[in-house]
Amino acid sequence: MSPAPADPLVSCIVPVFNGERYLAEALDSIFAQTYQSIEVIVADDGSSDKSRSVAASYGARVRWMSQATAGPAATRNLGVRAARGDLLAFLDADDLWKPRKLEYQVAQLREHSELQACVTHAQMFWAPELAAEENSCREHPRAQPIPGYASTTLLARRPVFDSIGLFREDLWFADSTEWFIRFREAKLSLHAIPEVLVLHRMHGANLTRRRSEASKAEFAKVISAALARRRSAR
Amino acid sequence: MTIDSSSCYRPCGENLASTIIDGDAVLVNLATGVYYSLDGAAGAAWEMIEKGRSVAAIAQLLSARYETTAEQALADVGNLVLRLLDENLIAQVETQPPAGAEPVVEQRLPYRTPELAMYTDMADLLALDPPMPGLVTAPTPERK
Repeated sequence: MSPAPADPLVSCIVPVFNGERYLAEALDSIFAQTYQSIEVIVADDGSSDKSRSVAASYGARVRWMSQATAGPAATRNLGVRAARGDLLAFLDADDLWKPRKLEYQVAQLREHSELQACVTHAQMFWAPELAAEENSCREHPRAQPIPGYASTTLLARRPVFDSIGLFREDLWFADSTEWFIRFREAKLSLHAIPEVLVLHRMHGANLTRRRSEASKAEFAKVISAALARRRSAR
Repeated sequence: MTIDSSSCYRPCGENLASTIIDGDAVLVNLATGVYYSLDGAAGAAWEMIEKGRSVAAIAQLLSARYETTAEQALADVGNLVLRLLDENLIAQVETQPPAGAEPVVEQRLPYRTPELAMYTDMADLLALDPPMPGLVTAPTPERK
């Protein structure tokens, strides 16, 4: 009987920008994973707070990579370039993974060789200072478990990034969505685990809450470009 | 329901993202992940809706810019407005005073009935990551 192949190494990339408040919780949720073949990279986007000290408190278990501020996509890409794993996962510094997140996802990719990536469902939760908002949003569709097509739920085989490319660094809000659109256009195969394995924190400063016109315009442009590509391919 | 030609409309607020590229408009409902395209004359009509122009003024522009009659343009703009209202993409606003004339075109373009095309294929991709509708605007980190 041939031996079982070794557990593939998962590179856990944590992009951070001035994320000292929640970074330790995010890292703890990684080290609490039941799947243990991991490396952890904190990719820093030029933080001026104590994020580096938080990461350093984990010793050699965490690799710190830093760059001058260049945006969320460039920060994720910094982590991708530094990663040594066969599988790549991302956790935003203010989000949390549930303990079996990687275990379930790695199992999917091991059992189904045709799969190139796996996402999970996600659920929002609110920082304590936003309790009033949490109450008012309790019935909102977005406050229920939702398919997590975002980097923070993603586990992907490394070659995917060679075939469809990295996150687009000119995008500051819709870079993950744009990456998943390219993934879909390339007709790559993905499984979405219908279980909530990622908790997405709403708090006073997180990027996804930037409901500015610039953010909305970026999503519209990404969708518009995808529609144009689809039409030109006909 | 019929549309009064003097009525004016505006895009519906916080859940709507839109862009116009080469005259074609794409609208995204961030609450549902449904998106829409408005091509050619429909894109021109959307641009005028964004400016708060009346239905009559929009029809006038289309008949000046495209190979169609004023009557046909008025009927088509009325139908387009009804579709946009059905999808909660616009809301009626107070009638605006007539604006200045739009630029005169030298050669009218071929006309196709303005239509609203709807797409639902990215609803799952847009479920988590766009800004969550309905939440208050929060302070943001200054990153640049």
